[in-house]
Amino acid sequence: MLAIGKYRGKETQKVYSRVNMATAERTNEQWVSELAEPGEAQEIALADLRAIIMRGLPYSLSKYLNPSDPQFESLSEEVAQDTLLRVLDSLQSFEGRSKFTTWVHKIAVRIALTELRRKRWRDVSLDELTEDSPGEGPRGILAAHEPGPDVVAEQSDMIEHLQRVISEELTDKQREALIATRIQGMPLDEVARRMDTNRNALYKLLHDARKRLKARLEEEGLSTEEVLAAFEVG
Amino acid sequence: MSQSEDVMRKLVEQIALTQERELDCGEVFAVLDQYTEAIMAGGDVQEQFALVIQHLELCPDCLEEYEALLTVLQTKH
Repeated sequence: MLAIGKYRGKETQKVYSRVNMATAERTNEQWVSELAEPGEAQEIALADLRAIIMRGLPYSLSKYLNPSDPQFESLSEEVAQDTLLRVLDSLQSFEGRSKFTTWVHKIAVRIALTELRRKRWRDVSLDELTEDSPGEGPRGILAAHEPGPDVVAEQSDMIEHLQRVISEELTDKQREALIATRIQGMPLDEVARRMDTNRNALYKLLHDARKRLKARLEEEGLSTEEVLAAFEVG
Repeated sequence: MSQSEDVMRKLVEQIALTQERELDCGEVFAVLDQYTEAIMAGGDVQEQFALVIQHLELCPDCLEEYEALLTVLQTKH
């Protein structure tokens, strides 16, 4: 743990005035210079930054976790700690194009949501998401299409055509990634970990897959507007 | 609408948004603080952040992160 509050009781008056100064807004340059070198100024800046992160988390996580949830406190502590470490590690990369605290909140949000996603999807395997299980209805996009009574022939033909295009154009990996992320809604980080890759590389894989599908439709003289129009029918 | 129709429609919508050049998640993260501040300031972001906007339309994960950051910045605390 970072030694937050280390100076309490020691040179109280001095620290008090420093803290008061600190609660006023620091400039980006002040944040960076105070955090850059170990010492008293860094300790105080870290304590203040930690408080700023902790005040932001109930808002950034509001869609995902209620502050009254028993998980909330331990998650916040963990996120604040990891964020401070990341901030110290990557201080050099801060370019000053935003407020320093915005940059820090951005890092905290990424760490917090990554952790929440990891917890939420912990017990789900990629196989169970992406395999087509006959007899359980169409789970994957390549499962046999059984149109409902309200589905007109044009739409049904289009779906079958798209299924054929997907199976002909995409690699197994692209298809697996596409189904897990875009159809089952598994977060990129979670799919990436299960595919032994990373989020950026996975995004590129998905991008390539979309480009292939787009090119194939163009080759066939089929515009996406036309395809979407087929879905509007019925 | 059954699942496969809904899924296919979404996929086609994403194909329609697909560009030859797109930013990856890391490139978006690198400027997400700037972009979110620009949104807060109410300026015109279309030109400077066109590729970021396009990525956020295609990437629900980055969109979640952007929305969470925006929520923090919108709250005075």
